[in-house]
Amino acid sequence: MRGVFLKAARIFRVIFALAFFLFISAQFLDVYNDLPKWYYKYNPAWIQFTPSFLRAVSGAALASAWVFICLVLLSLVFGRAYCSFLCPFGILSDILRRAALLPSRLPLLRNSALGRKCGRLFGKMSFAPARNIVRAAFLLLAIFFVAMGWTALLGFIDPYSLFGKVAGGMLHTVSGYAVNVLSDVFYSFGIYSVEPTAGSVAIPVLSFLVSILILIALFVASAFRGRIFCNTICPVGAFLGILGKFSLFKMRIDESACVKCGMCARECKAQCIDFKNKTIDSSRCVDCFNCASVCRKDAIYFGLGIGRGKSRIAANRAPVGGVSASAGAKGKGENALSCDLGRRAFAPRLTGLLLALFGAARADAQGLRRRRRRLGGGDCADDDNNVSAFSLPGNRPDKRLTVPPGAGSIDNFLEHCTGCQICVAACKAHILKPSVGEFGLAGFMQPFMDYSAGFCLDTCHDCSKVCPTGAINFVTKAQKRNIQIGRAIFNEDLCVVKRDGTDCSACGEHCPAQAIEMLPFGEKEKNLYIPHVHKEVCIGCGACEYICPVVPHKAIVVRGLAVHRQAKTFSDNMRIYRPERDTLQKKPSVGGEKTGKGGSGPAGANPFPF
Amino acid sequence: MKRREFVAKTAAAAAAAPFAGNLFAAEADSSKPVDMVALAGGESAKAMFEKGIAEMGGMSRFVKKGDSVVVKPNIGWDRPPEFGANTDPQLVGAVVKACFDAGAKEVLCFDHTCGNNWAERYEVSGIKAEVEKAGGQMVGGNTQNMYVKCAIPKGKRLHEALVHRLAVNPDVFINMPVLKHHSGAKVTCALKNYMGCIWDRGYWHRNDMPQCIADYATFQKTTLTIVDAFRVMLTDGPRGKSPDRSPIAKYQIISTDIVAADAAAVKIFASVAAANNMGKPYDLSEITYVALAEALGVGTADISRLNVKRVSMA
Repeated sequence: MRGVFLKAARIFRVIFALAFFLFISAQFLDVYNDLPKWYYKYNPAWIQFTPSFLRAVSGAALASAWVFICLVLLSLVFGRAYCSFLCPFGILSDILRRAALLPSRLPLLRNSALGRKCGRLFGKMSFAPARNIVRAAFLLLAIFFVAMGWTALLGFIDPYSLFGKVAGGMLHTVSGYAVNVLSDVFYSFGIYSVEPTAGSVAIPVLSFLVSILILIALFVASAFRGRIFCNTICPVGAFLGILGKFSLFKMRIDESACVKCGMCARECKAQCIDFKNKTIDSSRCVDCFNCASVCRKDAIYFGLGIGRGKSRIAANRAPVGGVSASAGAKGKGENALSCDLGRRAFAPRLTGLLLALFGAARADAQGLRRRRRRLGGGDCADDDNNVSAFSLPGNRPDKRLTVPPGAGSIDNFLEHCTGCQICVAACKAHILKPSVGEFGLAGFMQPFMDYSAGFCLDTCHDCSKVCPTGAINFVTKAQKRNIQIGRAIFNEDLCVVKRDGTDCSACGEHCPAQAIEMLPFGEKEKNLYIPHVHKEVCIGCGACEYICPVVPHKAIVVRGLAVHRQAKTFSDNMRIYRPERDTLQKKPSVGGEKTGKGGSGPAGANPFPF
Repeated sequence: MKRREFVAKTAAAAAAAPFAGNLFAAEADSSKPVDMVALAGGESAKAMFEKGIAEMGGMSRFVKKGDSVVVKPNIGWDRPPEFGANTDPQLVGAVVKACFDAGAKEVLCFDHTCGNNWAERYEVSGIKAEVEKAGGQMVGGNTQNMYVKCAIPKGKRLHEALVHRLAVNPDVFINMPVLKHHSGAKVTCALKNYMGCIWDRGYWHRNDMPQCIADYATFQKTTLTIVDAFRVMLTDGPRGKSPDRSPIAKYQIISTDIVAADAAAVKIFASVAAANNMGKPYDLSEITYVALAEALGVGTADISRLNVKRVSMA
């Protein structure tokens, strides 16, 4: 009976996980940027563990922590179900493992050399002792990163961010390129049904390589050792493992029914079933139900931990002795020690240490950041030194990097962004690109706004819709249009109007905020106009910088703000030049040959002014 | 609203004047083909086009059976039709339909929009819906692979350009600009609309833009120019700040001569600007690219040399 139930549960798990994986991948596959609105209501990235934790620690209100609390409660009831059902990196690991096993399972290849080799290499899992010191170390490291505000580094051990790096760097880029190549081929035959992407999906080569590297590493790890990442490096796995130990429901072995055949251990991708001692390490079990579905004796069940009494827990503890005995024989005593430490003092010690470390490090890191900001603003002082500290090599030194509207400040962005690349995939203008040094080494793969690739569109607020970590908080389109993320700095001496004495106004025509006013310039006969920036109106979208034709250094660039501000809305009384006044004075010359008659306009006796 | 009412009322008054329609229509020499039809006071840009193209001798004068027609409206900006920042969508739809009625094999429509989100601009402008309703096809213009290098032998500053594939030697090419204010070119219309046919606009901006506009016009085949001046954006162009900067003026020009179309458009702009006391009524001499194009032999800015039909619609 319970066997049937768990077989069904396993099928449900596979279907659910696959559906969820596709659902969260949709954002990265959305190369045309037209996911429906409801998608963002149920944004799957929003319920990811680390992002929800970052939101929880950044917001003072309980409201920002509810997802995190729900996930903790879920784990206290069901153990590490999150890892099998909701973690895209874990699901990806399962998918890759299946892919590695495919040759040995396909009827066509099963008996070929390749099939046999894959089966031999990857087919059989076996119990492995827990690496609790490593797990604790990575968990501490993760907490340390959060405390210091080094979330970009956290993004290299956090499973969701690693998935994002793979999906954003590989899935999105490759599918975007595929669409473009397809469209190019079709277009050359005069078929215009496949549209190319709007803007370039290109990302820096280095970040693309990192994505490939992560994917390959996960493939190798999953093929040989299943969920080894989840049970050594993953800080979420380590944390949920602690909760899993105390969870209400766990996978358990019915000792009376078990015949120690070892089938379950062969199927256990978490390598946590010690069938010889008839125990399952629930700190590593990810609730995949594979073991139960292969058990012919129905000896594995998903049962209540409480009420079963001490005997169960005692049985659960048995591996300590068992492992140390067997491991001792193999000369690995320290493993047993680590298990012991993990069991007795891990949780309370960790909590105490964390709290102390967290508070101290966070305060210190913020002090550091403030100092850096002062230094950064110093050499191009704006009204109040509210200037981004990050310049772009090869650009004008007064050009400074911006972060998207909704981020609030550069610090907030850098302290919360784990580099999951979801905003890179969502950016309609394709200007959010993973940085490879623009934000320093500690900001590797945190996205920056690349105004050489386009400009932030005033009709789009997609990055604020998708960001799950609180790096970019949600803003409406209307709010976004008035958020000043930077200010345009115009250098007259570089402008073609002054330099060559010819018309341009590319910046003026692109400005969505009317922050650039074209003023008469030079001799009147030449009829030239030169841009003037209304600083308080500028929102820093980068349209002027993108379109400015001057090479190599743009005549107009955006200087990012360290802390975003509210922009003023342009009103006509801010106008410096008023052509209407000129008009009234020289009305007789209006029009052309035949319109002299009393300035009749479009609808006098003759509606045609020619 | 006030201004619009004013324009609409005065336009109606003019049209209601006795023999007005006949007077202007009578100017054209009926023995020669009409070079330009100027229309005023129509109900919609679409209705004006339908009247105007009939006066031109029907679309079949320009589109032969089996022709591949390329329509190039202005779809530069993410602004809905009432801003007057893009060509009137119904007008574009009507042109596409007229081309099919004349026997066109296919009608393709594109623009190199300002900003990467071209698909959105096609939609927001309303042009995509109308073109597709009429059976036409929208083609992207914002990826470099769509552009081919072409020599501009008659160009003074512009000697070569990356030109959109569809603009290179089509059977029929219909230029459909919208008349509006432009912060750089002052007034933008037919000649300036060709900046949406090329890839590297920056080169033009930094190398004497008016001259480049004129240079390119020597290269681009133009069968017909249809100027949409139903709404005329008088200030804050070319993107537009709000619909009230684009009063309804109810003009349209259909011309075989692109330079003459621009010359007429500039004069319409000036008179609409003066009537609304908004924007600057530019003199034709201020819009330098028109004279530069004329000097290169693209067409004539002297409208009196053409066989013009002026139609005032009630």
